[in-house]
Amino acid sequence: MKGIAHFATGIAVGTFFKEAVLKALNDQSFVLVLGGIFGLLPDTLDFKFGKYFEKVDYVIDPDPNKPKPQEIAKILAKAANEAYKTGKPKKVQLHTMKISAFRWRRYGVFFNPKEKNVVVEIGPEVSTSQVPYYGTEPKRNKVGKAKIKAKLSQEVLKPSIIDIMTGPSFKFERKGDLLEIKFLPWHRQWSHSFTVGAILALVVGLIFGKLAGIISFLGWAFHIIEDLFGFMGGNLLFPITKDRTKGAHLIKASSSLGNFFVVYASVLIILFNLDRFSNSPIIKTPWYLYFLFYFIIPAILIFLIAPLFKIEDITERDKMAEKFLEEMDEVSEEFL
Amino acid sequence: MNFLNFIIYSFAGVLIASIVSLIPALHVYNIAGLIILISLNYKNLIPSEYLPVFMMSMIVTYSFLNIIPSIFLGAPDDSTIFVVLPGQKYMLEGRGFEAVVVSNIGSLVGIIFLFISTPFLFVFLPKIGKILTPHMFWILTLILVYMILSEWPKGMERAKTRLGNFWDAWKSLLAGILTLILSGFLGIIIFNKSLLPLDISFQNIMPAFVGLFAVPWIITNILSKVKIPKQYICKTVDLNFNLIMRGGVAGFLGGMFAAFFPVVTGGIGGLLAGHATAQRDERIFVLSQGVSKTVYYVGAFLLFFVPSLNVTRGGLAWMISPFYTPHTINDYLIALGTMLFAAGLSFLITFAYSKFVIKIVEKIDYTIISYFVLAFIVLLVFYLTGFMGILIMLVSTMIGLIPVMFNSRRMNCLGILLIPIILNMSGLGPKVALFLGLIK
Repeated sequence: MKGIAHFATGIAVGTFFKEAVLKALNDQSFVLVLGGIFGLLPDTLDFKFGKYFEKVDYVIDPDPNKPKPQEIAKILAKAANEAYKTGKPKKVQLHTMKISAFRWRRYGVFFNPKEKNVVVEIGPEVSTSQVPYYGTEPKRNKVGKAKIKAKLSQEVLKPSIIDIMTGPSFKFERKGDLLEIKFLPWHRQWSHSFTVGAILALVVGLIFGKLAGIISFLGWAFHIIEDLFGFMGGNLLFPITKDRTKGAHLIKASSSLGNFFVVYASVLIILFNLDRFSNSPIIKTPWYLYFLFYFIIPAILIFLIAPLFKIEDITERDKMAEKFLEEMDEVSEEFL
Repeated sequence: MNFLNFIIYSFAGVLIASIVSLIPALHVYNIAGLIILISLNYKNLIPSEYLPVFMMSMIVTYSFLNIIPSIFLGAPDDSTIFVVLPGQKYMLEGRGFEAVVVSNIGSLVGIIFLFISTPFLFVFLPKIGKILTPHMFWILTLILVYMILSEWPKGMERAKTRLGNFWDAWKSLLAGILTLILSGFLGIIIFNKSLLPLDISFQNIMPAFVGLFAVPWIITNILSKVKIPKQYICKTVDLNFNLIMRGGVAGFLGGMFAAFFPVVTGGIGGLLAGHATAQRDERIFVLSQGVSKTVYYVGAFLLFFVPSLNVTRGGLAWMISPFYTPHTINDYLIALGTMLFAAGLSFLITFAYSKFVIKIVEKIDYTIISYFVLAFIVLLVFYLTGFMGILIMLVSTMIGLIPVMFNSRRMNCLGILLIPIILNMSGLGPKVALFLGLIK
């Protein structure tokens, strides 16, 4: 989910408390704002703090003018093999390739479990909006491959496309016979746990009162719950649980429709709750009809007509990833 | 209402706004204020029944045309600040005209959406308004909090240490927070103690906005010695119905949000529209910003005419409210008709105007143009607000340069409005003003 969806959910959850709504209304209290803040906080902690304090073992910073895919693949494979051999986890940071203020070089990394290797492919130059400039793909020295001496296990079987701003990191860790590959190992760990949420909410509660603590915890908790519908999951009871769970794979964090529905539902809830706790409510419809008419029916309609308004993804990131997979399949077929 | 007079006052509004829109940093509200002052002295100049027609034409035209100085002269206002970067990128690729056309289509889409949304404005908005109005204080606080929390770190993570990377990323975030605080501080001063003489105090915010948004960008253009390539006058643009719908809906929601909530300006609407679209496609982004700014300016004024809503939003509605009160649905329909008429004219004028500006920027060195624009702005601020206005502009420029230098979000400059208003709504405003010695 995007930040705005988590933020809206956090606020919506707070409005279920009559006391909070009345405090905000009559005493100019900030208590409902806490729901929004704590709704955003888990990702804020990750992306503005956590990621900068991650210790990595290898850093790959390719030359944008002369990228060497084989070198990149070799370092990744080396880290993976070391992790498998020694049993000690290894982390690799991949950097982006910045050519000029508005221009970057795209590349893709794919860990292929069938071939037990890592494949790196250099792509075209792209704008900061991730739109490729045609004809800028390197003519030769485009692909690099290196063998990994272990069975691979990963959350998502999809190439990682790296282009603008900052690059991702990977963690290789041996789990029995398998080598687990973790994308963004710093993300959704301690920050995405109910326990840390509870501790922070307790601090808030001690300072601002019980209600503020409860709303803060719920804002945080709903963030984690919403994220569980995605691909990565969360480290729910850190430090009791040591690693993040797998997500339900039901919704992509970038899904515009999914995010829109969450924000829209939150806005409807906020309006309904603010109204029912006011002195003279104006929504006379029962809650189930209110949500039927204003959410369920419009949501079904939007869901049905949305495919008609599908637009072409001009960044071609997914296209590159698909092409990557097709090429891998082709190689496998030939190999078999 | 006489039809001929309706046409005359509509044309007059379009004509005056079309001149105002091309003058960098001059806002339609500045001129509207002056026109109201003049019409108070010359009663027959604009009869009160034609005042809304004239003003509606002005605001519609301004909302279409203000994209031109933002893209070609690098002089944005708070509603066009988001579109400047992609807009200038288009211009540096020789596609400035295309950016204007895409934004212009967005503005037209915004007008169509406003027209279609009439039942919503009449049926739902009064109810939503009734529910939300008592809660404005914390809703505005939420917007402020979201502006801070949603800013993304800009570091490239190439420092030698982890702490170095952290500092690199946080430089831009801290600069954003500093900008918000300083602009908020400036806002508290301006709102509590007019630094301008009483007779021109309605222009209070103008030098501050010029300093926060327009001047820093022009200084950047001068320092970076931007060279303008030949601009391609496209015959078609690469937009289809689906792209227009996506950008249109997002921009409309952002614009309506800004129009409906007090103090929330088109820039914040643009920010929300950008987050809502979440598209990497610049065409959708530029289009949605065009929709958003038009819906913000025109929508805020249109709300003034919704009989059961009783809200006054946007500078223009506040300015004419002492002299004109809409009573019936007929007043709303006249405003709607004027909006459509002016939008049609403005849509066509924008093409001609942008071609005219392109000829200028192609012929004259862009650095010279930037110097000229800067000198013009300084003179204009001096003419309208005097020496004190120049001082306010200078202070605001210093604040506005912080996000430019540290690559943080320029929207943080809107702390100038948000922070004093939130403080006032929370009841803390007078205490802070007293503490600062601004009031006794």
